[in-house]
Formats: sequence, structure tokens, C-alpha cells
Amino acid sequence: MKTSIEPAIILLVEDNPDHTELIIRTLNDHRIPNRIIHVTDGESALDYLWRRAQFADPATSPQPHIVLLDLQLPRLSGLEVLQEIKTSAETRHIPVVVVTTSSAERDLQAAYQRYANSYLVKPVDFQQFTQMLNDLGDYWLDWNQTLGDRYSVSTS
Amino acid sequence: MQWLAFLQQLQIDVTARKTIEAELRRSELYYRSLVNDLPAMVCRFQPDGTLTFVNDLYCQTFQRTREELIGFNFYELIPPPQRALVAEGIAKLSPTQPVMEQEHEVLHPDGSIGWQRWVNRLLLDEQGQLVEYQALGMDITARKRAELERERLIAELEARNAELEQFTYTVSHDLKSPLITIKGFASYIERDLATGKLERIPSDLQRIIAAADRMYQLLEDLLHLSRAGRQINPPERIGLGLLISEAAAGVSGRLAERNVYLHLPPNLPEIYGDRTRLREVFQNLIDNAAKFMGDQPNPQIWIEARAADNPQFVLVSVRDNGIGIDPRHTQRIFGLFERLDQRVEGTGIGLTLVRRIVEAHGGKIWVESEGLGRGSTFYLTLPTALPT
Repeated sequence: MKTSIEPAIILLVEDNPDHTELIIRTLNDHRIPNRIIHVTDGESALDYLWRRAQFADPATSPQPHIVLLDLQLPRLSGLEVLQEIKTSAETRHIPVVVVTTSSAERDLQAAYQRYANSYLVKPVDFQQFTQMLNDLGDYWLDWNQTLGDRYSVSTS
Repeated sequence: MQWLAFLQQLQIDVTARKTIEAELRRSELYYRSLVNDLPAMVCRFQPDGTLTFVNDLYCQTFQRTREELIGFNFYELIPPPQRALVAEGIAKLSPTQPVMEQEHEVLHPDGSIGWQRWVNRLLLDEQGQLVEYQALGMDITARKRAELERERLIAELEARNAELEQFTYTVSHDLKSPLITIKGFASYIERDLATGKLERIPSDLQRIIAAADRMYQLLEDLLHLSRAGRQINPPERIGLGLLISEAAAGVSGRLAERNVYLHLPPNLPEIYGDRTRLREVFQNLIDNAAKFMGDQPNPQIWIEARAADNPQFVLVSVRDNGIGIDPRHTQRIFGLFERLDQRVEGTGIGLTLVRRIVEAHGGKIWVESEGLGRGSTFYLTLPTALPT
């Protein structure tokens, strides 16, 4: 009997291409294997979660274990996306971690009022930036138990 | 004996009557002197507003003689929009509620508008029939002006505070963002140099340079915006048609590139303000309309002007047949560095700047759109030129 670990599926909703690259590079180095699906706006994020349009096939668009959500997004804002995720019975169990540059009280309040699971402010300092993403990986991809467990037990 | 008693009685009656008359005269004198010396205006008038009595201060206040005022209708001393309000208050007086206080505007002899506070009283005869009205009034112009000024200052302060908060918010987000990029990729370059992995260094450097450029552009835009809030040039009369032609010439490149036809009607009115700033307003609105034409094969912009609700302003509309705006975002587009479409160039300062300039001129700006693909119309109110 052996335990195999499926990669964690992360839905990254981020419109800034540079920040996206920094987040992907850092998480790719993480000890927990993960697969990042990246969308750049709020509407695509909801399309992915509701398996609409180009995300209709569950084989290629599996439900994420965690959503990393920026707040300043074009078209549909991060807060609107958060609200949609947390009001639907099908998606509200998915942990949503807000990752933003905004430390404004009103954004914090608005995010937690819409049931964000966590709120992280991107540090300007790069050491702290990678540290934060590594800790995020440790906590949400390893210690935290999510529904639809990735750990599958197979006999061989 | 009977006669004597009668005469005695008559004597008493006459004496009593004389005493009463003397008292009446004294009381009348007291009343007249009191009414005339009061530091308040006193008048009496009939239900239609015709004056039957005025005291000295009333005459002084309106700079008319008593002869001119008696028989004159006091409603003519009140600005027309306020007349109905005053009449309504007076009509409410009844035997059960014979006294009422009211504040309203009045027309001063020099043409200025003042404020007065009046206590109006219903005068009834012994049968309970209406005789006329009596009113006691004070000038409260200074207090009223101070109140209005205070309200204006409070509103302005609140607006400034909200703006400052928005500014801080924006700066914390939009300026921090490129810094994260710069520090992040610089750290990767450092790491890659140490391990000899040189392949991605050129592209990482490009990201750093682009982020620094973007920061520079944001700072420039912020400085521009902070200057625009204060009107720099003295206001002048400007022909709106000429101003818009100049603005269109400033963005002729964009209009030609997208083959946009601009409809500019003749006989546009004159407006009053800072020419350079107002040209910038129309330049931004026209440029914006041209920028968001989408794949419209026959792009057009229509400019129109008509009287605004406030007679001191003109309502200008800039309509296009471009991509339109989702009605949910009609407020958001005026926000600092807000961009609904990241693929279209720009930092998102244009409409913030436009709103700032319009508001600095006392005007308002808003946008209406029936939705995506259905064009949009920007409406703005601008001060009309003062009559010369």
C-alpha cells in the first residue's frame, strides 16, 4: 500500500502579469506539488468555478482546492467574485485567500463581511513576499484539510 | 332729590369716561412709541398681502416712505420662488393657532437677497372674525449667510477628506504595485546571477524597467491632477464651439486613426471658466470616446448643449456610438486609476481629471449608457458666461 499525492489545484485570480509571475515562480518552488490555473479577471474566475465557456470540461478544469484572489480586478471586482463564491452552495467551501496590495480597513472589512477565509497584504520586500507565499503553501496546501481530499490511497 | 342724584351720577360717568379716554390715549401713545422704537419691523396687512400699517424700521429696511408702503403688497418684496411658501404659512393661521414664525428671503432695495424672520399673528375682532394680520420681523441675513457659509465649508471639507482618503488608498495600491515588481525581479536577478542562470535575466530586467516607467507615469499623473483641482488661470468668457474645435484639434491624431466623425453644431453658447482646463476636459472626453469605439464601422461623436436646470449653467452632452459602459460601472469609471479594460492604453487618470476640473468650476459630470455595445453619453454642467 502506498500513498500518492495529487498536486494541489490553485486558482490564481490576478490581473498584474508581473505579480502573477512572482507568485507562480515562488509557489512552483514549494515542497507541496501544485498546479496553478491563472485567470486575469473576475468574470473568467467565475466562468472557471461554474465550468462555463472554455472551462466546461471537468477533466481539464478541476475544482480548485484554494482560490488566491486579488481585489483590484477589471470587469468584476475581487469583492464581487468573493461574494459569488461564498453565496453559492457549490463553491462556498473552497477557501478563498485574498492576496492584495491594499491594506485599507474598508477592503479588509468588505472581504471578511463576504466570508474571505484569509486576507494577505503583498509585502513590498521580496524576502517577505516569498516567505508569505511559502507559509501560505504550508498552511493551506499542507496543514489545512480541505474537502475533496487530494490524498488518495491506492493498493498496488 | 332724584334730580340731584341723577346729576351726581352723570358727573361720575363723565369723569370716568374722561379717565378712560385719557388712559386710552396714553395706551395708544405707549403702543405707537413702542412699535416705532422697537429694533424690529412691524406691519399689518390684509389677507392678500396689502399693507395697512408699517413702522419706521420697516420703511428704513426697504427704503420706501410710509405713504408708498401703505396699500402696497408686501409679497412684491419677496423673491418670486419664496412667495408661495410665505402665503402657505400665513394661510395656516387660525383662531386655534393664531401665531406662527417663518424665515424667508427678501429683496433688498440694492437688489441683493436678504433673510428675515417673521412672527405673524392673526388679529380677530370680538365676534372672532378676521380683522387683519400683524407681523413682527427681524433681519437675519448675517446669521443666514454665516450658516450657509458654514454648511458650504463643511461640505467642502467632507469632499476634500473623502478625496484625500481615496488618494491615499490609490497611492498605497497603485504605487506599491510596481515596487513589488521591481524588488521581486531584482531579487531574482541577484539570485540568478549567483547561480549563473542567465536566460531569464533580460526579460526580468524588462519587467523592472516597465514597472519603473509606469511608476513615473503615475507620479506625473498625480501631480497633474493635484494642479488641476486648483483653477490656475483667471476665468474668462469662452465660446464653447471654438473651445471644442481646439480640443478636437488636440486629439486629431486619434480621430483620424479611428476615422471618427465629430458632429459639432453651430451656435453653441458661451461658457465661463479656465480656458486651458476646460479644453483639457473636452480633449479627454473626445479622446476617450474615440478610444472606446470598439469595432464600430462608422464611429461618430455628437456634441450638444442646452439649458441646465440651474439657469447659471449649461448642460453639455458628449455622445458616442462606441462600446458603451456596463451601467454597474458608471460611477467607477471616474475613480482614480480605474481602468475597465486593461488592454486599452492609459493609466486611468483621464476621467478623474475631467471630473476634478468640472467640479472646480462648480459643475457636475455623469455618464449614461444603455449598456455594452450601445454607446455612451457623458453629461456635464458648466457655468454660462455672465451677461455683460
